[in-house]
Amino acid sequence: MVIVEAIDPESALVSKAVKAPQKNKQLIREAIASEEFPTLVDRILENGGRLENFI
Amino acid sequence: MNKEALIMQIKEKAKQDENKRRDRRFLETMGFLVAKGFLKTNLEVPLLPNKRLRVDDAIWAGLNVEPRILEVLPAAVLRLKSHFDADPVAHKDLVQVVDQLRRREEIGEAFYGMPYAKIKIWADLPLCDTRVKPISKKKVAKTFRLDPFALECLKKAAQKKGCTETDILEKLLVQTQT
Repeated sequence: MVIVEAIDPESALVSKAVKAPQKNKQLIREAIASEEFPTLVDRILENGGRLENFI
Repeated sequence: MNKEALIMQIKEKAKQDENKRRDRRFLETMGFLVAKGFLKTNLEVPLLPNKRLRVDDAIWAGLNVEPRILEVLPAAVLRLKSHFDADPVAHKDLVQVVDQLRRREEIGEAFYGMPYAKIKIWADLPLCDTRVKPISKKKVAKTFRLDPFALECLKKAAQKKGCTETDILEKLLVQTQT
């Protein structure tokens, strides 16, 4: 049996930003710049991510 | 630096990223890797399955635009060698990882920060072009000195079954394992 769980795009971005910031640097920069995810930056910081990783 | 200043810098970098995504080095590398089935993207890139790439261009694209390129590059060079200008002197790190993949080593060197364990996965990825076999499925040449009678038996068995002598040996070996 395979269990598939779907998460919303912003949560997926938060996970990528916190767990593998280097690999997803450009993706996160694009997401932040697009301003389509209003709570993305706060959620990254709340979950232990660092904005410095994306500069 | 405060949060707002960091966000401003990130937005500035995002603009630079956008320009880099239009760079020839990125478009050619992605066009080739997507066409071959190594990568998927929602960006519009020209598919270039017959392109011969410069390794330096691919590394630039991996470092500056799409890090996944660095993850798949050693496996792509190993499996599609004629499409790259990999040079043992100029691209020492890359050639070293490619050799480790070829020897199917369990532990190997990282490539531009990409761990070997992640790089290794791509050596066995099935590609759109089924002529390019995964490394684990690639046949390995082996030489044996057989007794003439055994050789004759092997030839006859192959003729009788209508297959190759290698097929006969492989089947016999598999049978001994089961």
